[in-house]
Amino acid sequence: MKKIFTIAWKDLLRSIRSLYFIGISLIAPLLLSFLFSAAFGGGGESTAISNIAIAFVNQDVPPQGSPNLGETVYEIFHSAGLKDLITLHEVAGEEEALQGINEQDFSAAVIVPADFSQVVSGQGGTTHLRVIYDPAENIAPQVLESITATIANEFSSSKIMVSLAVEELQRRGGQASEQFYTDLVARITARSESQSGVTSPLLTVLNPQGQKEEARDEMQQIISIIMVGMMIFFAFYTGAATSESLLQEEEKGTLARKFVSPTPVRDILAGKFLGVLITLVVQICVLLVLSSLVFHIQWGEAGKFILAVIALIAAAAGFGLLLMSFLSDSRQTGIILGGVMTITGMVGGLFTSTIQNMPAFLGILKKFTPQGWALDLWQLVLNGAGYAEILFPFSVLLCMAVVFFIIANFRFQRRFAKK
Amino acid sequence: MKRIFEIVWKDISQTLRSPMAALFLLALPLMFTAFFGMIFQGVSDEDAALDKPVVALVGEEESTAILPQLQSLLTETGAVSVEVFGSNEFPDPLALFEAEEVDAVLYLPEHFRFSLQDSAPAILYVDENSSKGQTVLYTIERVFSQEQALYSTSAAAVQTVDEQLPYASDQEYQMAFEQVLAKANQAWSQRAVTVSMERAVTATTDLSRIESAYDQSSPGMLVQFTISGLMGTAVIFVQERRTKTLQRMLTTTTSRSSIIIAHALSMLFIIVVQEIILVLSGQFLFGVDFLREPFAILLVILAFALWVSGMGILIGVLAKNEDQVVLFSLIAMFLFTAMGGAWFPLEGTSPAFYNIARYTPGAQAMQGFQNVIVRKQGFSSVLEPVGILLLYAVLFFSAAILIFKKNKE
Repeated sequence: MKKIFTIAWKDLLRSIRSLYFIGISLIAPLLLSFLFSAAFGGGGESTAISNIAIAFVNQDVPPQGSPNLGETVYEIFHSAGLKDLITLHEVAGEEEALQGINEQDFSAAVIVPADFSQVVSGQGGTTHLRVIYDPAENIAPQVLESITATIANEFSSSKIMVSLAVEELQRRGGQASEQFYTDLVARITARSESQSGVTSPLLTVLNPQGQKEEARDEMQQIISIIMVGMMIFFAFYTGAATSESLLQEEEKGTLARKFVSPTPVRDILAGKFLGVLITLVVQICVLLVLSSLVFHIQWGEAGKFILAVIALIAAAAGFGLLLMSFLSDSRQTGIILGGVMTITGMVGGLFTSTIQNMPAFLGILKKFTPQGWALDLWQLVLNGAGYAEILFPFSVLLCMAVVFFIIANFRFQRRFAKK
Repeated sequence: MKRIFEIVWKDISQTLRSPMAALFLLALPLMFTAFFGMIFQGVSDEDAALDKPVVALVGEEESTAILPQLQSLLTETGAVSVEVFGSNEFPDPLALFEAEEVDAVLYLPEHFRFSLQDSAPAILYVDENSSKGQTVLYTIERVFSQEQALYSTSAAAVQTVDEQLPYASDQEYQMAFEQVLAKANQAWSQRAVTVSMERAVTATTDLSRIESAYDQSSPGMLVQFTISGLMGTAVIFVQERRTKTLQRMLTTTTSRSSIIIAHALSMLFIIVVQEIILVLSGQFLFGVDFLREPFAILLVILAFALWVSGMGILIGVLAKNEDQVVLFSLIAMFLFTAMGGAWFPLEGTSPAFYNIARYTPGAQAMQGFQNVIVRKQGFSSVLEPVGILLLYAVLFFSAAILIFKKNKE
C-alpha cells in the first residue's frame, strides 16, 4: 500500500511542479471564466446594451398648424427612462445615418417618415417608423424594435381613442368641442404614464409549483454554467494529460525499472491510477475554491456538490486512462489531448452550455460522452435539484468511470505483462 | 536568400508531416464551424418553429368569453401553441402539468378583464428560467400589454364622452364601452403606426444571401484556429533550440536575422494557406459570402496572418520547451478569440470589456471579415482593420526580434 501511495505522490509532485500543469489545469479555466465574467458584467457592471448609439432622423413634415410629432418621438427616445439604454444622436438625413452605421458609429437609426404627423393626426392612412440597423449586431436591433414598437403602439392607440371618442359622441348627437379634445389629450397622457411599467399588473407569474420564483442573478447563473463547462473540459484534459506519465515512463525506461523491483504490476498501475485521481482532486478543489472567491459562485448543497465532484473526478480519470491505454507512445498524445478532448467536449455541450433552444439531436449526442453527463449533473446541482434527480446522471457517470477503469486496467496489465 | 528559403521549406515540410497539423489547421476549424452553424441555424428556424411551447389556457366559467379571444391573439403571434381547458375540468390548474404535455398554464380568474381597476390578475404558471418559459412569458406579456392598452383606450374614450354627454344609466355606459372596445379591437388590425426593420446594406445587395447561420461561426473559427494553428510552427523554433540545431546553424554564415525571417516566412505561408482553405470552405461548404470582395478578404487574411506569425515567433522565442509553446498558444487563443468576438458578438458585453476588446487583433480581423460578408461593404471598409492589424504585427515582430537578439544561447 505504501508503494502505491509513493508512486501516486511522486506523480502528483511532478504535476504540480510543472508550469504546463498549472497553466492548463488552473490558469486556463480561470482565465476563460474571468474573460466571460468581464464580458458579461459579472463584476456588477452593466452590459454594453446600456449604451446603444442610435442615429435619429426626423423627416416629419406636419400639416399647417399641427405640432411636429416627430419631435415628440425624439423626446420619448431622449426621456429619462431610456437615457441609460440609448445614446441618441440627431443627424440631418438618412444618408448620414447609414454612413454612421457603416462606420460602426451607430448600432442603428430611427427614421421618422415625412407623413408621420399627417397620418397620426389626420383621418385614415398608415405609416411606419423605420429602424435601420447594423446587420452584424443582434441584441441592439431587438431592443430597439421593442422600444419603437411600444412608441408606435402608443401613437396608434391614441389615434384610435380620439376617433372612437368623436364617433361615439357624434352617435349620441354631440359635437366635439375644444374642451372635449383637451380632455382627451389629458387622458392620453395619463394613460401613457400609467402603462409605463414593463410587466403587466394584470399578470402574476408563479413557477410550476405555484410559488413565486425567487429572483436569481441571471448573470451569476451564466458565469456558473460557463465555469462548470470550463472545469469539466479541463478536468478531462488533466485526466488524460496526467495519465500520459505511464507512456512517458515506459519510453524513458523508468517503468521497466519499477517492474524489476519487488513491486507487483497491479500495485504500480494502482499507484499511477491513484496519482491521476489525486491530481484531479487537487485541480478541482483549487478551481472550486478560487471560482467561489473570484466569481462568488454558489455551488449548492454540500452533499450533492460532493457527489458531483466525486463523479467528475472518477469519470475524468477513467476516460484519460482509457484513452492513453490505446496509444502506443507519447507522440500520439498531442492529437488525443487536442482532438479527442475538444471533439468530445464540443459534443458534450461544454462550449455551448449557455445557448438556449439547442437542436434536439445535440441533446441526444451529448449522452454519448462522459462530459455531457457531467455537465447535466453539475447543472442539476447548481439549479438546486433534489437527490432523486441527480442520482441518475451520477450513477451513469460512475458506471462509465468503472467501465473505463476496467478496460484501461485490462489493456495496461496485458501490455506490461509482456515486458 | 537561398538559405532563408531552405529553412522555410524545412519548416513547412516538418509542420505538415505532423498529424496535428491537419487536425488543428483544417479538421477542427471546419468541424467547429459546422457545429456552431448548425446550433445557430437550429435555434433560429424550423426546429424552433416546430418545437413551440404549449400554453394551457384555463378559465373560470364567468371568464370563458375572453378565452377564445385570448386563444386567437396568442396563436396569431406564432410563438406559442394554445390549448383551452375549463376550470371544472381542472379545478387545480397545476394538475395540468401532470395530465397534459404543457410548458405553461395561464389561469384566468372569475370576471377577468383587461382592466386595471376591476379585475383580479391572471396567473401564469411557468418556469421562467427555461428558454420556452421565457418565450411564453414574453409573448403573453406582449398580448396583455396590447389588450390592456386597447381596453384603457376604449375606457378613456367613453369616459370623455360621458363627461360631455352623460350616459343615462350604468347599463348604457357599459353597452357603449363594449361597442367602443369591439371597434378598437377591429381598428387595431389597421393601426396607424407600425415599425419596419431594415438592414443597413446597399440597395443592390442580394438579400437572399444575407442570412447564413455560418456568418458568425465561419470567420470566428477561422480567427480561433489560425491562432491555435501556430502551435505546430512555433514548436519547431523551440525544438531547434532544445536540440542545439539553432546553435549549429549559428556557427554557419547564416545570421540571426535570416533565421528569424525564415521562421516567420514559413509561419506566414502556412497560416495564409490555412486561411485561404478555410475561406474557400466557408464560401463553398457553408455559403458564407467571402468572395463578394475577394481582394478585401485577401488583404485581411494577409494582415491577420502577419500578426499571428509575429505572435508565433514571440511565443517561439519566449517558450523554453514544447509544453510551454502549447500553453502560451492556448492562452493566446483563448484571450484573443474571446476578446475578438469570435465566440460571441461584442455588442452584448460590458462597456469596459467592449472598449478594450474591440481594438484587439482578433476583433479587428473579425471586423474586416464581417464588413464584407455581413455588412456587405466594399474594399475600403477593410483598410482600417488591416492597418491596425499591421501595427500589431510590427509590434509583435519587434518584440520577438529584440528578445531573440538578446538571447545568447
